[in-house]
Amino acid sequence: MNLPGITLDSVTLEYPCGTRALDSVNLHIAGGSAFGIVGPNGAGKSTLLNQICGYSLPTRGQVRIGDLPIERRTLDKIRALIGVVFQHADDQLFQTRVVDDVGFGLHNRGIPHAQAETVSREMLQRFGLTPIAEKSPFNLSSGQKRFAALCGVLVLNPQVLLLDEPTSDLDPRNRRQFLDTFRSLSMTRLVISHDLDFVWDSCENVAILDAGKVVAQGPTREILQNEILLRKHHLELPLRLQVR
Amino acid sequence: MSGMEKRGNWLQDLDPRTLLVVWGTHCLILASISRQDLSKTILMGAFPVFVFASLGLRLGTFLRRLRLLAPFVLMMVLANSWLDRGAIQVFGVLQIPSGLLTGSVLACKAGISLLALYVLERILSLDQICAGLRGLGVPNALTNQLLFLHRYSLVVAAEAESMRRARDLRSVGNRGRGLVATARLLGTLFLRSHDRSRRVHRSMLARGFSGYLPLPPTDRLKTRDFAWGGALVLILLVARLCP
Repeated sequence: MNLPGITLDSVTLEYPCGTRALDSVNLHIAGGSAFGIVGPNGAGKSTLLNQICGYSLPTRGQVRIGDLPIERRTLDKIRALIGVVFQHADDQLFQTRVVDDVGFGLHNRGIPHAQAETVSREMLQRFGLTPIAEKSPFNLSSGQKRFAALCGVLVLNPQVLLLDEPTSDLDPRNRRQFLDTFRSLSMTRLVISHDLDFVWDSCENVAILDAGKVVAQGPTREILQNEILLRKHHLELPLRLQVR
Repeated sequence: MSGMEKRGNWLQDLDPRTLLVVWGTHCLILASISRQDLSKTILMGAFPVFVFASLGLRLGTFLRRLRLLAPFVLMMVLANSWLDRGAIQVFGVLQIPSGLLTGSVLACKAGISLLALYVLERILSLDQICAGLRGLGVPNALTNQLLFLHRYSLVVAAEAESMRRARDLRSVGNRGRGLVATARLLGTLFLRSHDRSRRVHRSMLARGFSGYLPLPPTDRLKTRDFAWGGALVLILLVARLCP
């Protein structure tokens, strides 16, 4: 299967007040690869994610998923291709039962209710979440919420997966499980994270975003070992590389 | 069968549409009773009381909800007594202020309506109620609004709880809990819940949401639904029409 990549071509986003949130961002993420975006707080990482999802359109430049440019008229097609796991799982889970939430996207694609429920339950089973299928998402632990949110996206079988700070609320065991799951996926994956160890373990390539600009990009092992570069942009070496 | 359905009682085995028709009939009949007919109003209370008892519900939970409504009902009764100052004869000999009687009927109607709503909510989930309403031909726009309102109330409650906790942790005695502080808190609560709702909406869009909230489809009505629904509606009508 030919998986679509993500291309950002001189993407600039300027707010009406004149603040430039993204400044001529050029990136290419190859289809089927895993790519990480790291950077300090306020660098524009989540804004960049919003551009790729089509929640806001750039002032200048273009974002493409495969050959499809992100424009108002293509948004429905784009959203059928991508899956997004947001930073706060609470923002994603809104149905009264976990299984309904996982099946929400399937219903929207016109899958019959019974079939959607079966597929949703299978997905929950894959992550060992069957015991919480009937529960309200409001009463889950952070880790369960994170995995339930991931199930709700993976059940749609997206060709591009976008993850915003996926490990921010996971304990070590859940983080490990999340990492294993992430590695087992074959679609194009983009991770925005402060967890440099996660990026190190999961992404082939990485870009550093600072003040709305891509200041470095390349192979993860190369970029994340450059302590001077990382320090310059308020980042630190991954914990595993830090000399004790 | 969808797992979200509540089961365990004969009423809970009926189709949501049947229950909605019965409850709607009860509501209309209650509203149609004259504001001076206390005995018939009380008679109409027998229906939700019967359902309440057959479901084995806890009185305490209902009374806590009634307590929330009580100030409004009390205000209504007092205003009614003040506005309606005529006299009325009861049992042929006793003269009482007309406002007292009509006020009592209003209070009874409010209590009975709340009880009926409470037992219906115990039988059906909101999703089932909305699925039933859709099955009865209520437009999607309306059922979507109900479902969104429910979700939004959960979002607001979660935000309000976290804000209350943050305020309490930094309040000393009654400081920081006054009217001004609370008013500011409400303003912030609106902004926060609006922001959160926007993020929830974005995540829904990401999963193909196009303005229609999916609900489980309703099954075909069974003979049992027609029989029980017809019998209950008939009993309610007879109770209303008998002198």
